Amino acid sequence: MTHPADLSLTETVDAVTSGSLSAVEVAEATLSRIEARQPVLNCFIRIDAEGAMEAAKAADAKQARGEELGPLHGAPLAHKDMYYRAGVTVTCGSAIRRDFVPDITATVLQRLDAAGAVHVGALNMSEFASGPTGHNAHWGTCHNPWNPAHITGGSSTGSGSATAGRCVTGSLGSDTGGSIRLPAGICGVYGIKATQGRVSRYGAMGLSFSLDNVGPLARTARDCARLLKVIAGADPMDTTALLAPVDDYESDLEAGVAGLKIAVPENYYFDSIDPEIAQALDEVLATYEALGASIRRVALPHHDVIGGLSNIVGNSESCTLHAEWQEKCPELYAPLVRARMMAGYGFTAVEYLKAQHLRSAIAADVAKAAFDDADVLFAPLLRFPVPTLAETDVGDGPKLHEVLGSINYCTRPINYLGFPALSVPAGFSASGLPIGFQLIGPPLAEKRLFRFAGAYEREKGLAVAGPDLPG
Amino acid sequence: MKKDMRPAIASGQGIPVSDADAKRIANLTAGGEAALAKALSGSLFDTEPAHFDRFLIQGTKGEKS
Repeated sequence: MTHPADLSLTETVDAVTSGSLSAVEVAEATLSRIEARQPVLNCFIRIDAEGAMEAAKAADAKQARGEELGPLHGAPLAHKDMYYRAGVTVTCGSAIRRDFVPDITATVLQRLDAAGAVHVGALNMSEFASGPTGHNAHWGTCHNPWNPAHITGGSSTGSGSATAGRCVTGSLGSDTGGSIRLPAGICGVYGIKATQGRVSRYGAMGLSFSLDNVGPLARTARDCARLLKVIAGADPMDTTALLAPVDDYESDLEAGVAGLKIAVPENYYFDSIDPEIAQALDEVLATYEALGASIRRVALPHHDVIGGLSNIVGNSESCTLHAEWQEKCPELYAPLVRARMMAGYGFTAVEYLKAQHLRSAIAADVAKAAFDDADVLFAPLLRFPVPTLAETDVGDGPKLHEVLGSINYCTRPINYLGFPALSVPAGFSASGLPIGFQLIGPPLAEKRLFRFAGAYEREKGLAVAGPDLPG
Repeated sequence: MKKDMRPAIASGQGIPVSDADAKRIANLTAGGEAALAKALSGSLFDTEPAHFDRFLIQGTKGEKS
């Protein structure tokens, strides 16, 4: 019999709403699983067992009363510890905010609660969402469930680890340069950075308001699609949230890709790619061709400057948020985090504004090249096998930018462009670590990305056995 | 901009800047400066950051059925 914690999000919801499992049984199994795996993964900063059981009992009572049940009814979730909930400590993975208690609740948490999710705790993350590995000087390193000596990817480290480690059915992360997509792909699950502004950021800790995105990680394409549908949409509390209607992202999961076109970039994304990764991605493309899609090779403009422009925007904005603490208590940051935020102080206001003014023209040019004759853009997630924690533990040393820049090389440009990008699991390397790829679309094409992901998942299946962990 | 001016900009904002920080700032901002120099091919007159928001809504082919 399947362990309840091994069910996917949608399987869990189906089991609870059909009565084959109660929300309390699911919560008990989840908490037991978390207790067993937390010592290995360190994916949680805080576990809220009492709150989870209360929510589970309330969910069962609601069902017993015959009330209408939400699309996430009974599903255990936990989120990157940067989503504010009134009266609950939110650390942002830092020492500075170790005791911070907000008086507001993030819109996305309100939406998940209303949909029936059971909240089980707060997940580990890179300090202030600044780091693509898994290291955290204050809350301890988070570990990859498939091999704990390896990185989880970041900065939504706990989200990737806990979801892939089958401690929760899904999680919210955030993505400013790859921080949902990297932990998703590196831990072997799905993660989506939607179109810039698709999801409200009200009540979410900010890093760079022009580049920040809120989004889900989950084990299946359907799970990820459902979570996005629940959280997406306009929000009067966040005027940057797009007013465009929210699609039903699950509706095309089984539509297939026959007749659709995939753009594969000739420049930038596949440069210096590891041969093992290249072969794995070739096999993915061959699968799509066998399913009836066709491939277009495209040259993408501006990719020699997007990284630099993105750094101007992102660093300037994050430095602004951290200026007070950088001045008054810089020693409370991990050296790596403090170092990463230093560059922003050297840019001028005019340089920042120029980088912002250029954004629409650059994004339009790239969209034209990528999507005028294709439906999605295909790109690697990571150009090399998942590295170890030891290899990437560079602190604020001279290799900081080289090592971290190599990790988010394929994900970072997409935030400046504002396009949606979905990380899809594609098997494992010879060393047993996940390989992932990105499906990137024009603005508001999230349903299309899930269509492609669903087709691949149906053809290749998902890993049935989870990682070899206790519990 | 001269390389040593960048750390001074940071220092002028009240941020403690060590020699290592100064070197880091100079190196990182050099990348951004180079990107801007390459990306700027004409006037930015009649542009504004909000055009990007308009692109997200209007400058797309939209979802295909």
